[in-house]
Amino acid sequence: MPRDSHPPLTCYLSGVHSGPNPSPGLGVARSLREAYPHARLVAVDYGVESSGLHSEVFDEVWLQRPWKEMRLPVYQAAIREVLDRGAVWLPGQDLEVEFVSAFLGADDGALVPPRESLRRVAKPAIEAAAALLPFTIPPFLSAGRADWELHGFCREHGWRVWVKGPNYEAMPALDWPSFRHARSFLSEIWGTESLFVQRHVPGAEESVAFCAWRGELLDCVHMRKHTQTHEGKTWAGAVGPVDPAIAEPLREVLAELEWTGGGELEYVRALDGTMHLIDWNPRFPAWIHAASFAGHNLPARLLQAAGFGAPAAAPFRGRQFTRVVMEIPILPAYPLPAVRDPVDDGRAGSKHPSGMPDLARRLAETRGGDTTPEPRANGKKPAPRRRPAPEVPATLQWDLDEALAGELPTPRRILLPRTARERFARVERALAAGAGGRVELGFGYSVKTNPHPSLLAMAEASGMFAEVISAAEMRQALAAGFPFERVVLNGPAPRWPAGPEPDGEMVAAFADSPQNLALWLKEGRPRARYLGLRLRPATLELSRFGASLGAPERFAETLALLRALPAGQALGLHFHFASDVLGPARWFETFEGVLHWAAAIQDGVGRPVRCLDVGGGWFPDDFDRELVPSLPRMMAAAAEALPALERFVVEPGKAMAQPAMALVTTVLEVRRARGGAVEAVVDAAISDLPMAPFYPHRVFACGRGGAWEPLGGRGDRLLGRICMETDILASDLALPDDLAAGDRLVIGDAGAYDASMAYNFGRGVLDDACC
Amino acid sequence: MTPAAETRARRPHAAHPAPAAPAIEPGADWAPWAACNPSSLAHHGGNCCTAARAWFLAMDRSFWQGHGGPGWIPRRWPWGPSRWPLHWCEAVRADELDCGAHAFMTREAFRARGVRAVPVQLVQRQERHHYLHWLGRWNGSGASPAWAGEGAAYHEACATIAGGRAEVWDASVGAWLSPEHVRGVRSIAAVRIGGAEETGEVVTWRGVRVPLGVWITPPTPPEP
Repeated sequence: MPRDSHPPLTCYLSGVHSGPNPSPGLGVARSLREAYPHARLVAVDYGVESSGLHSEVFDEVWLQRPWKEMRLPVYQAAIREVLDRGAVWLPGQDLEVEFVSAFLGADDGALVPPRESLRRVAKPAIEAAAALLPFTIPPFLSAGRADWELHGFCREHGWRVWVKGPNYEAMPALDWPSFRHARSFLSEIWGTESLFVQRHVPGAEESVAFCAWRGELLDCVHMRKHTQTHEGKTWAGAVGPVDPAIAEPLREVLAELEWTGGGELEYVRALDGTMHLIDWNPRFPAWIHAASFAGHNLPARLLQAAGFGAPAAAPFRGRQFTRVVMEIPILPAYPLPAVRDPVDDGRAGSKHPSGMPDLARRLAETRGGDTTPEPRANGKKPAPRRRPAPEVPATLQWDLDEALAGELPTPRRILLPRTARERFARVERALAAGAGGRVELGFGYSVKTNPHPSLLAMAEASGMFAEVISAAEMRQALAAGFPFERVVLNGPAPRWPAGPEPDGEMVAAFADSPQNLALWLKEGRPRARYLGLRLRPATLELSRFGASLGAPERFAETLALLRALPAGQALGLHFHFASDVLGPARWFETFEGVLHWAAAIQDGVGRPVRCLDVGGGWFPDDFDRELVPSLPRMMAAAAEALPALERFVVEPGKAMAQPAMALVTTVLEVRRARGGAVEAVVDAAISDLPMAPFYPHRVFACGRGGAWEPLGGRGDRLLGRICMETDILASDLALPDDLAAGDRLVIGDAGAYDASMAYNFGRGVLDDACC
Repeated sequence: MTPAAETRARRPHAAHPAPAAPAIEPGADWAPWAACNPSSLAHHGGNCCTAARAWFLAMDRSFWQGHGGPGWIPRRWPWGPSRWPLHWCEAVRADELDCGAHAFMTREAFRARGVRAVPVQLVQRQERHHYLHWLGRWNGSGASPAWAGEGAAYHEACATIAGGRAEVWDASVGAWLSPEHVRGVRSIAAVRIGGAEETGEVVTWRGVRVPLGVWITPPTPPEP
């Protein structure tokens, strides 16, 4: 039936919630009301909590059953019926667009893009935009990859990453525990494992809203956010024309996609001016009415193309906009639901009033081939997808196969000699490559990461210094064969416990604070070729270590103290922060800043800096791939900033010891939930593996051929033997299907702080310090 | 009230930098401000100011991520009264700084980064009734309120110049200014980019042609 033969013009608008994270339906309705004062606007939603249902802009409300219990064929037929009567349907939620596109197909009344076009603009690749539009897509990785790989991605991007769902919601991952929490939370809410992790791009958030009809771009506007809600949603902004560098290629892309409906490109304009596309929404943005009063009524343009006739003209009212909060009366026919029992979580319904998580689950089932899925019982989830196992170096494989050939009492931490030697061989090669220059390169083995005599002996043999944080560690290093001349001393209590110092002169000693240095100057300083301070750069003010540089008074005091060093004492400076916390890129940035501080200090003290000691906490892969190749550049930069520099010391931290030991454990019990994940209780515990929550450990099981094979991920858990809720050694493993009590498992990457910080919980003994 | 309908500028206080020859019509309401030179921090010539400046530049280098303006400056020293002359050692220890100090320090930071930076002076439209607040606050701190007028105020900022293009950084707000902001509160009534030494050079500022060292009024864009 021709649309104009069916007065009045009728438009169904879904997604009408107006809250802190609003849907666009209400804004679209306000724009249409201005353009078509006599049109019949029908609000569609899936729960009375959807606040816009009660707005007087709508003529009618069509409340549906919640998605989780809806019979989709019934709803499809109902939509078909209203379209057949000449109405148009404008969905306001990404998933509704997918639903309408999938089940109604091309129809003049359903203002949605073709299903294939939706696939081509899906996050995170946004394939259709990548080729023609002037945006880059921020790096991303499927959250279904191996944990080892995901941890590496997060480190690479300095833990400035987001875990994102395929359609909605993103959570920041600032460290490994928060990554795991975000992955698990989003997977649970949205019923999918199709999550991804994406680099955060700092910059100004902008977007382009557009509308198109059968591939023809009708109009588009640019919007720059000025203020945002705490969720990052627009609160105020400015609307303006779209840069032709975006508009023209967008016109081409929309033609290729045969796009019909509204849409929005969300991107970040970085500080360097580059633009990074975050999302392509297949519907109008919630701020769309601001574009209308700036002279671009996109919903009206779309409906005009769909046969609604010429819209009424509206006056220009300004380019800038803000949102306000206002109360409106509830429609008597749709009263508020009863107040939830405050003991329960009463917020559950308010976050997703249109029930999108439920629709996400239903659509996931349809993608699996079931085109008319029936509602599922609440809580029934699809089986978790299996993540691949991490790749394992040959040296580690040999070590495991050899070390575990015989019987071992468990739990037992074992040295992996080939792996350990390979770590120290890297240092030897780097030392050889760095030799012969004006500045002498050195590496410090961090004794605190693992004081095992074998590792100390290897470190000594490879030419490393012993980096110690106490007199106790110094004695251990000396006992292992390090000469006093190859000791570097630092830490907050470097001379604990008191005792005689050997004759001679250590390489370097760094006070952890100005107070510590003042004490050394007053009561006798360590005998060291280079003496100085650990620095705490202004960007790391929260660190408890080092002399603060964030205030001019502290800086002046530091200069005054260093000026008091005896005339013959060579000055050294020390900077140490865990690179796997900052990520290598930010660590390098901080290092560059430290060079400026060191130069400012030597100018202010009037004495050249002759030794610079930098570290630490390098994840082994980052040490190999990032730090070692960067050493020539770092040393050149240091030599330029500090012309009298003699020695450049690098402290890799855990990069040496972490992979060099593994923890062997025996399965005590296997618990298999019906259709669910497997849990294995083992004889090791969090006290044997205290770093378990903080980075992924590679876990190995003995395969059928007798070789030790790394395990992938699937949601299985490895539970420790002790009575602590936190005694979970791994929570996303794919344990062997035939795993049984008595089987052994090996937890790798347990050679650094897992070894040196292990404690005696649940063994029936107390540590010496307790008595 | 619509700001800046009536503007009466106050003569700058003697503590502000010495006036130069006015470049806009002497009869204009803000002619006394037009005669000001951009502010600059003084140096005691000793370790105190040398160390303070070295500390400031090292701080800036720590916060810089390769692009953008030094937004850390107004976060560390919120906008407020400064007493002039102001020395480096006093400025870095201050709790708050005025726009002249912000702008000068920002210029120093840009220049240390290898970016060409020049001073910017502005007259901005303000609400008339704000004048009494400023007057009280500045007088109460022993600072000169000469920058403040009824309906307008004198302000300083900083511009970066590269490839014939200028961008203006409001060092007290931590944001880039647009020449299109010519209506309403804080809008630009007059602006001079660059000091006397830049006179004769012409740049573009977001599409507006700007002769350096000369007071101009940005064109008013037409309403759509």
